[in-house]
Amino acid sequence: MPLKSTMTAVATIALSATFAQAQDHANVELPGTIRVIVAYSAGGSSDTLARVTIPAWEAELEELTGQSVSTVIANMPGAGGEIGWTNLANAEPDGSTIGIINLPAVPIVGKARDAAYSPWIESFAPIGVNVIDPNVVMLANSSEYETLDEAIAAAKEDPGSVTVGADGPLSDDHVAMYQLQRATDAEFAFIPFSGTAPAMRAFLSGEVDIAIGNTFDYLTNEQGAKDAFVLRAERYDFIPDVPTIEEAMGVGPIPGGSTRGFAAPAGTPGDILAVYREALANAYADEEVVAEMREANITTVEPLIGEEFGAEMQSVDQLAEELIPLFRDGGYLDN
Amino acid sequence: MLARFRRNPLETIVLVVLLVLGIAGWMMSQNFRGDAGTWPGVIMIMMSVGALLVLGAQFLGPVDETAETPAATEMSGKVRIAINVAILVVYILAVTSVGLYASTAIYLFGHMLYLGIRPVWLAIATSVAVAAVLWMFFGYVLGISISNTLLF
Amino acid sequence: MTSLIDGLLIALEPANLLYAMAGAVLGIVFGSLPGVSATLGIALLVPLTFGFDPVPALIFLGAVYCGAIYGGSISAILLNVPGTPAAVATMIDGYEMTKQGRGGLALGLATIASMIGGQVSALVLLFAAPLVSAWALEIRSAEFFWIVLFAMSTVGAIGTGSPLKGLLAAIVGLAIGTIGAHPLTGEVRYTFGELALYEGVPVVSALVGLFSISQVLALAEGRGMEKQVEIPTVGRLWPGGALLWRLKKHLARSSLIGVFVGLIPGAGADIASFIGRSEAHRYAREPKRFGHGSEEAIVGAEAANNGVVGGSLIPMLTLGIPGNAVTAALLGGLLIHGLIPGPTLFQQAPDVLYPFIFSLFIANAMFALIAFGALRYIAKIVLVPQGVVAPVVAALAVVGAYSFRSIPFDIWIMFAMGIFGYILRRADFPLAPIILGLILGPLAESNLDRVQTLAGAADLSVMGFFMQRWITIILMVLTVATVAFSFWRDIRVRRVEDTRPEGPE
Repeated sequence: MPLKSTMTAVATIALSATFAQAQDHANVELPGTIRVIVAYSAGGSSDTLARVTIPAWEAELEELTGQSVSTVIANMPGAGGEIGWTNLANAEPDGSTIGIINLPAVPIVGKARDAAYSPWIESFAPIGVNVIDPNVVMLANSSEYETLDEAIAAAKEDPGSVTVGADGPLSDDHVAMYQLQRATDAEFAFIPFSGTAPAMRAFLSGEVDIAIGNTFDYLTNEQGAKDAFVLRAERYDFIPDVPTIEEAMGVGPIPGGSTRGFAAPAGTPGDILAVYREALANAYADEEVVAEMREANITTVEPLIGEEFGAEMQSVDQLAEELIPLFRDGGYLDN
Repeated sequence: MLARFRRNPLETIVLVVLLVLGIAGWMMSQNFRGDAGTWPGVIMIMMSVGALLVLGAQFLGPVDETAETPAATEMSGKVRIAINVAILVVYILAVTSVGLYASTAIYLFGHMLYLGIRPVWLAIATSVAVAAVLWMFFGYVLGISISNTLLF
Repeated sequence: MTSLIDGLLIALEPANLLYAMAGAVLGIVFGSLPGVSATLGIALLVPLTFGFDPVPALIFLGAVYCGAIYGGSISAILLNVPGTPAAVATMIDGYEMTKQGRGGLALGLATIASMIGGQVSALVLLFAAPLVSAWALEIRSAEFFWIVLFAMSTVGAIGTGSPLKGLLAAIVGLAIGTIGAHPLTGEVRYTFGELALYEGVPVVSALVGLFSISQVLALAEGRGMEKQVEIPTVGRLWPGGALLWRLKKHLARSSLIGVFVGLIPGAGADIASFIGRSEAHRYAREPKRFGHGSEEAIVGAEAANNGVVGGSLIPMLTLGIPGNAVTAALLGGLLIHGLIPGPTLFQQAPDVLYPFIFSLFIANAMFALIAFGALRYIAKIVLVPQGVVAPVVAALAVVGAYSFRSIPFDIWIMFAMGIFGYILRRADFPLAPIILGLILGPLAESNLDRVQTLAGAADLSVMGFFMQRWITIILMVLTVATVAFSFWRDIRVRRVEDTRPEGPE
């Protein structure tokens, strides 16, 4: 069942919560130690998310089952996340390992390199997500174009003459650029940087015309942008003054962004998954956790739990499948 | 035009290896997709050319007669190095099968013994103490261990 | 301004003072241990800081840097064995003074000079780094590419030993740096399918292996050749205000020489101390006493090598370009805490950098205090037999290499780099340029790739694109001139007897 509107999502959580109270989780046997794999190094945004969410999740688990569990966050950076996700997919599916999967990086990296966890959609069982950080497209003050509309028209007129700087290759920003190309028939020159910070620096110094980043990249570099829109169906509450691409350009809606959700290896027993999902839903609903996330600059949305997150994964998979030819033409794929 | 070089047989071997690696690396770079081979190709060629230049200087240039001949080229020295390398290899293999801290303690003791640390109790005490400190910092505080090993 | 005051206050927090103290002690210990250089000390201690917060971690590592550069002088003065390559210039006169029964004075002078050199350099760092950083924000890919190339070229022009072999070592580092994903397209190169290599050879593993395992084998090689040593009696440490006042010009000059040498990529504390000593010789009151236990020589060398600390941190923090092996190791320490050195670091993490910079003043005072308070006991560390040092270094290296990413393969990368490093060392190659090449290679390639795409978008050739901005042209000229100078120096080295006893660390 495709769930798009946030209203339905909220309703479902409320529903699952009441449903859960009726359900008794006491006889589900949890592993004593649960390892949480983060495919990026300590200090990064995924790591921060894990460190804020997991202690609350652990407490909820103990409350739901009456068993004492401990959690260990295992940072496994490397190969653009592939090492961590491969470890997550190959872990024993007994509930002793869960992890953060980052979309669209998991499918894009997977398809680009034929990763060991392919097909990804069958390798991970969704638990839940509450971070979908939308992509923001920004036009540099120093650009010769006055508006993004004008820049995109120029990129249509003379393909490859307008430069887009972003983290990349194969990042969510790179995916967003291709989404934009597909929707507008423009063709940009992609200038990849190793991380968002250097990309934004290039944007401020006038080296590139357009930068693609996420919510906080816009918030911290707002002064360097003379035009911007967000790839989202509706405006985002963190940046309410940024119009959606639909409002700005009349195309779309194009949802694009970086999603960080929790998943278990496929094959994890259903009763354990059910507890994990409910505990996560409760943790996401905890006001203290929400406040802590705000504090840590985590760009939250209404949570998607269990199969709702599964539906989101399906739609990202479809998007990745559609964009693969563009990546192939760009020279980013082997086959 | 090049500096005086002492003729060190090991150096010649290293230079030849670098020369060959450079050529092999350049050949591999030709198969990389798109522009991905350009930079490695240039670097590999530079490595080969650089090795050739130094080799040329070694054989054509003036030799520094006053330079000391490198020590430990005699057989016993080579054997000793080989044994030290073997000890390290066994240690690293043990780390991934026996366990990080247990094999560290055993390794420290063994290597110290081989390097002539006496009395034996001193070697034991030092190795256990160092392994314990490592476990404290990395194992206990940071939770770093290698999974699927026998001990810890 | 507030970030400055905040930084000072954070650096003065009791916990952070303790971290600085621990770092200074460990730095002195590692520095004074013959065979364990400042680079190796930091490389081995970086993994230890995993569990620390970024601020204490950097404070700790910075203090290790200060302490280790100073500590090298202890074994140099007492035992005629340089604890670090940077102490070689101190050794000549320092050991003479010990033989004359004035070892205490030599140690005292070395301590004071090191501290002053360190404080001057920290002061320069405090004021220059934010300025350089603000300027660096405007640097574009084309300039960055040439800055990196310039840094590489100075390796041949400045390093000790054969310029050509220094450049070749740098190229070997660049070659190792090509392993992994292509920055522009993600095409994976020279990994032979090994996932652990997709992001390249990890800097921490390479660094630890290159400097530690090669040193372990070198130490093990010397087994049985150690002679029983005793620490000579040294007498009074405090040199007295009058003597220090007499040496003030040497102190000031050498401190600034250190800062300046530190700024130049490719040069490190070892080179600075030689320049500091020879400049002190040139302006000395009693130049004839140089080599026979001259106070001026010790002060000239020691103020310079600690002056390097602050200077060398400027390009590392503001551009992400480590000028020498020690700052390359420190860069590893920043990376594991998610701090990416480069132009944006000062914007992103002033709350980490200012406490760190202020802590250097504290660390410099700290090691001097420790030295005057407990040098007699600390000096005993030089008696630890190599048979203990070598295995402990190896164990730290193995655990450290693994802890970085928790990938067992990294231990093998570390080990392979160590064997490679040992062979290169025996073949008289300097090791520091390899690490510089490994770190700078990917920077050079990604910037050049961007320039290519940018030039394409602007309908220019790459060369035409370079010619657009003056600063790029200046950097190009500088780089070409430096390489030419290396070749010229290669000819000169042939004519002039090279008296420097050791290569750069």
